[in-house]
Amino acid sequence: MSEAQEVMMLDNQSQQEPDAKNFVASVDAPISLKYIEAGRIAQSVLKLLATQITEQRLSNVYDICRTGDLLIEQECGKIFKNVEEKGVANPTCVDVNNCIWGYSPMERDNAYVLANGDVAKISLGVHIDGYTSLATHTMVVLPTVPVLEQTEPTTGPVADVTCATHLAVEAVVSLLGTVLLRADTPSGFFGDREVNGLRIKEVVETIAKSFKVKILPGSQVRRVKRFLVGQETVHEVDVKGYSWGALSIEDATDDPEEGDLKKIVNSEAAPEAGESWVIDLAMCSFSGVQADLHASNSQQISRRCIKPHRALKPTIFIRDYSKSLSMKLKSARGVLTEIDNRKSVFPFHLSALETEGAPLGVAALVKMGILAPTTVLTVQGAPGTPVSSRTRTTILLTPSVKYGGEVVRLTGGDITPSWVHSDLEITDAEILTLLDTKRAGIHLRNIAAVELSAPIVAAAEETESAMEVE
Amino acid sequence: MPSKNSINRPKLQAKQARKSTTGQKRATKRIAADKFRNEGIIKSDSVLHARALTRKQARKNQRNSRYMAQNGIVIEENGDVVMKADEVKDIVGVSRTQMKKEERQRLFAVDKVAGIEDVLLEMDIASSGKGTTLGGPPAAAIAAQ
Repeated sequence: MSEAQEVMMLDNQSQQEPDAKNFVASVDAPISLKYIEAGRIAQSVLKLLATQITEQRLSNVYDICRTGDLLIEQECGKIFKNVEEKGVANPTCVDVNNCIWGYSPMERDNAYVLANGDVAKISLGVHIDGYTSLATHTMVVLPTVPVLEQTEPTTGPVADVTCATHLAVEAVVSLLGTVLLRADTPSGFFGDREVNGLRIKEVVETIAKSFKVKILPGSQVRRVKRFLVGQETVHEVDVKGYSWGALSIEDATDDPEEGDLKKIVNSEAAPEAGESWVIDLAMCSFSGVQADLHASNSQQISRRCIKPHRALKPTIFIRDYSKSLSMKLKSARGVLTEIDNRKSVFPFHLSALETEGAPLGVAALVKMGILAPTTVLTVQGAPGTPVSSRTRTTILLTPSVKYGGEVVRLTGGDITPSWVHSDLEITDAEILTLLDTKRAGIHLRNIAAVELSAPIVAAAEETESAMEVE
Repeated sequence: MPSKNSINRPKLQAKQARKSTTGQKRATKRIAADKFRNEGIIKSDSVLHARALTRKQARKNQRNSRYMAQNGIVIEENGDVVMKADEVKDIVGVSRTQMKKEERQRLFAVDKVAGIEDVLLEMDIASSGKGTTLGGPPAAAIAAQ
């Protein structure tokens, strides 16, 4: 059994993991280096994909997803040679417009091709020895408009939702960073109140209200640990942060106060130095009726507006280590062995499996509940189709002798948002303090992306198919 | 050379150490041993182990201890190998490996940390009544103008 599986089993049994493997002592500590390297790869791949889309070199979602996964595996293979468990922590997904999660097609022919004005959310994740950096970037796609001729920013609901998500993430980064301040204010306080999950909720919902957009289920700001980044199949204990309800259909209830996730997230616990956090916020332009909002929280979309896509089948799966059954089907046994040996406790794409007859085996494993599928979800409202935006970033709250503490932003810092203009703005003075140039006095550092050379997935596969024909 | 299944193959000796089936139970009775084998009985946590050394391993240990004494190598209680500073240069093989490893770790750490950049203070969101703008025109477009 691998180390990751042991961690999962321990957590499922409600046992505490030793904190030594989850405490980030300083920027140059061994744990930090793994986090930073994972962040650098995630950031570099994300930036490359965004550039390729902007420059019209990649437009087919299949090509984008496969390029992302290929690059992550390629870059992870170059570093930490003595670490066995490393690679893709979240298969590359590109969710377009009202699609909010899980679109990573299996075939190029039927895959979506990005068009003018689409809002694309590129999600990916990298882990090294379980230390994970997750990233999601929202961009407005203008492939048919030459870059040089773009003279005006994008406006309207797309701009509103993009601004709201981007600024909410930036504000939460600053808010979490304030727990490291020691000079004037007591540690863990911003203003006169403690920083905790409820305070985070308040800030995010105020920003959403300012831009007249709604928060989607699946949004969460939470502490992450080694191998534990909020996988659906793991019931974690001692989770700090705040969650706006589960995204998966099985776990979700319409009332976020009653969901499984609510019970395990401790929203009153304060963030502390030495922890790593992920900020994952998704919002959408609301075009439904009042009944589509959750009764006790008018800033959150009701679960009834989130529906699985009718035509698209799940292509991303995750192993549920709490279940273990002996399978009769040979391909199912082969897939299970491959997953246990090669894949870690993170989600994987169906195309990443090398076992013969993998789709059949996966179907059998899903039926038995050993694998959990990631359903392609869309948000639907009447009238019209809402546009959604998602931004995800991973940060380290590291103690520092020089600054008292500093926020190391692993992903999302070194990438420019799309050029958008919203007529709306934030007026709350406290939130503006978090977003001004001083960022509430925190010391913030970004992981810089490095230049990668993109493998041409399409060309390589065309050559292969041509050779097969010959 | 007799094969594994040969009838001439030496049988398991009564005095030879056997593995505990539970993995926890340890022999407390000291076994009879010659002068080499006496060195093989390890005392740890006041429990005597019955792991007897072979003659070959015992000779190796003796040779290693002579080597360590000559070169000033000391094994601490926690198992760490420590060398006196004067002797480091003399033991070329060990010192170079050790130094290379340390150097790699140091360079690696510096390289990784140097890749972090302080955040550019570009973002300044203020309430001006003119709305909110993110990003900006592409750098290529600005250059063209």
